[in-house]
Amino acid sequence: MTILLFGRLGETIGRELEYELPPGGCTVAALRAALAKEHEALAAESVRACIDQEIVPESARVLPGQEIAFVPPLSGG
Amino acid sequence: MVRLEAEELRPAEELERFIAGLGGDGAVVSFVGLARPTDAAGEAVTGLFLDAYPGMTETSLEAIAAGAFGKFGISAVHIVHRCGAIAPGAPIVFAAAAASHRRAAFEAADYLMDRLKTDAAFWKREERLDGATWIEPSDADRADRARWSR
Repeated sequence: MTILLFGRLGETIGRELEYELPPGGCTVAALRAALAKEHEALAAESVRACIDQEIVPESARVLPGQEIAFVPPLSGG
Repeated sequence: MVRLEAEELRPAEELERFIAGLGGDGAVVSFVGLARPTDAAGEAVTGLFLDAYPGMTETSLEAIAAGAFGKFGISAVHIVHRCGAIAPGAPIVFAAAAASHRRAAFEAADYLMDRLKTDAAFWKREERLDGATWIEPSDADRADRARWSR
């Protein structure tokens, strides 16, 4: 699955990350922990996960076919 | 009602189009935000980059517009927000509200801008000669936003 990154995450890590999601999916917390092994910036508490463009809690379940993103705190306009 | 604009923002054209689409309102208040040429410390800013999440960013702008409809007696709202690379002095946001009478239009435009500064889904990078910084809303922006929660 492709994971989208925005703001400073997109700049330092790249706009997209590829991750092999387990067939039954996993929690946001598990996905974050797996990605943070290589990209420490994703471990920061201020970085939030989005499923289908909505910010979700760590307990939310990531399933195949969803749009997943990690975003830094909003800057506002 | 809302638009994310990757190219040049032309405020006069936006205002003209907004007014042309109205029917029977007596007041329009519009605001244009320009990219400031200096940062909070007074250092020269050579450019701004506004990163947007296509879809999510528009949804955040729509939620802000809907908030204005729910709070003030207005008949129309128009928000155009830039994304991408923006030169100092260039228009970055256009926000307008129309109503039967001026007070509601003034208040709605004020509200739109306070919410846009904190709640719009953008990530902003200020570029200076000595490097670039990703920025977050200031305490003043948060205080302005909080005025509408009381």
